[in-house]
Amino acid sequence: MILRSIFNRLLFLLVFIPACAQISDETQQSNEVKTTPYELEIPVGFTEPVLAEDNPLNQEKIALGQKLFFDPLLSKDSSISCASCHFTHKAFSDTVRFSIGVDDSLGIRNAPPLFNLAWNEAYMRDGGVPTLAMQVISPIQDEREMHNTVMDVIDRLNVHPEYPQLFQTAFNDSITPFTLTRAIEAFEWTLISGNSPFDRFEYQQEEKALSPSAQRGWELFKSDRLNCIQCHSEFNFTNNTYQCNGLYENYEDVGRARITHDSTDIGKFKVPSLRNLGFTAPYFHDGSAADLNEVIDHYAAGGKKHFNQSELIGGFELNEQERFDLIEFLCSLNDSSFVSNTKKLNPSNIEL
Amino acid sequence: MRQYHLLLLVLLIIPFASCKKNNKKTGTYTMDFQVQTDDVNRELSYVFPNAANQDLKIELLQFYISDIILVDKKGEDCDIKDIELVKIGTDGKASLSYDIPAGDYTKLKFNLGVPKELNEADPTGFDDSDHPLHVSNNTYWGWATMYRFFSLEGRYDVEQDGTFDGTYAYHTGFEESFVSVEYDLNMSMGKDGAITNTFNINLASLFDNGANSVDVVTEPTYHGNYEEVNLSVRVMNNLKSSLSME
Repeated sequence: MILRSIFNRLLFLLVFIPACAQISDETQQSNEVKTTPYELEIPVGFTEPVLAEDNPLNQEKIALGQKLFFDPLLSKDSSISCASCHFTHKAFSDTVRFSIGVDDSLGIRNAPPLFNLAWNEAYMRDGGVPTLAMQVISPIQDEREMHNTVMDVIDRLNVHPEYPQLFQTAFNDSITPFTLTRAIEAFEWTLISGNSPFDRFEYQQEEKALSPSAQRGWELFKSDRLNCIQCHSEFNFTNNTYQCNGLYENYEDVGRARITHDSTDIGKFKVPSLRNLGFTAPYFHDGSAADLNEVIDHYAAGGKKHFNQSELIGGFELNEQERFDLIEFLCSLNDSSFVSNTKKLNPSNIEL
Repeated sequence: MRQYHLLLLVLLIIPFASCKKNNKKTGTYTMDFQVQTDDVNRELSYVFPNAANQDLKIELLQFYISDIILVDKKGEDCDIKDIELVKIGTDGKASLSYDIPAGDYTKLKFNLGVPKELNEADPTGFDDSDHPLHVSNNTYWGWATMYRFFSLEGRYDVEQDGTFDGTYAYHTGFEESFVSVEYDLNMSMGKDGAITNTFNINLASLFDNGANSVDVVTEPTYHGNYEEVNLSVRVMNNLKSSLSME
């Protein structure tokens, strides 16, 4: 009898407590601000990206991330924003070899363009950051860039007339390191470029989207002679590996080895996408090539024979027509609609 | 009837599972940290000489300890805490307290530094501002270097004339700098008991430690340059050597 009584009481608790919790959840949900769901528009020919599950997209979050991206409040002296080194008219790359941070500090690598980040497997040129959200911290705290701390940014945002409410709306949460980084991550996920002439030719069946010269360049690009496609493969023109392209005999910047501390990774950098090359000069991890001709010269010469140099880089010869065709093809990867659309995102509307 | 027996059995087993935090028979285990020179307790800013007869003063001393484990007399590990940031206050002290299951313990183990899985984790994922790895602690460098295991900053006075000539700052990190320590115990924690172990930090040993000695004048900084990781390793070994349990 006693056992039955204990059992019944336990049963009551087991049923009653979850029921209370459910009521509490429902009350909480009714207090939440409604957000507007957002789905990425995936270009034809692209795969579905695998986004971090801890950051479901909504329009309010993306708008907030956009506002933050262009806000110099993030930097120590409020002098630079993300957009100060990632220009919209440059497919979010920089105009110079090394970006200039607060107090005129000089960066050590060429600022990469920002597009199709949702498909990246790792971030930074050495792939040292596993998620886009984590990447957001780096420029904020790097003494050569914004030279700030995440907590200082949060303190500033908390006393801002607009941001506290914007975070509350977007996340139903306050301003924290988590929400700060997820807002910018959400915005950057939406920077999708997949409407170049090549895309229209290859994926959208527009036969005239590529000139005959660019089509010949595409064949060259894939050929055994040049073999560019071995590394610059798939719809994003990167196989997401780390390769040493033999740019130097001795690398001042050790690249991937900075992360792995492995000498076999010295001089290796993430294979970059070739999309939007027309907007993203200068080239290579250190911006040492001013134009595409210099890039082609490097590969044609077969690199500087660094001990980690990719075996795929063995040099080749191109006649004048072939070089022209190859550059025509590379320029067919320029997505003008991406650049013209993203230029409108800059709230200061500065025509650069 | 069988259901009742089964339910009772489950209810009885849970509280008596070995070394579980839900064991109601617990006591309070405290780890106190105290800086010292010459076996005398000091405040953090106490000025002391190094082996080269230079006066040193410490302004910041904080370090991560991780995987704090008590080993019971059966040799079983009792996990106490995964990560803590020991921040030595201006009074030269820091203290950590835990509820631990009553029992007999023979060993205390912990690491100095942040374990790989936590070091590589997203620092914004530690939502609780009290979490030792929360970014508000300003211990996260960035993508290549991750967390600073040990921050030791201060000033040196070469002439010992009361004028500090320069500053030093060692912010250690990387897996190579991760070190483990363990101490033998003879500790019986009773229900509602309270036991404190004090860990003295010999300030001089942070700098003077045989082959691991650090010269504050010629090598005054370490800020995460992997090329110089040997300095980080030496400083961490010095921290290990400077710790002793009373």
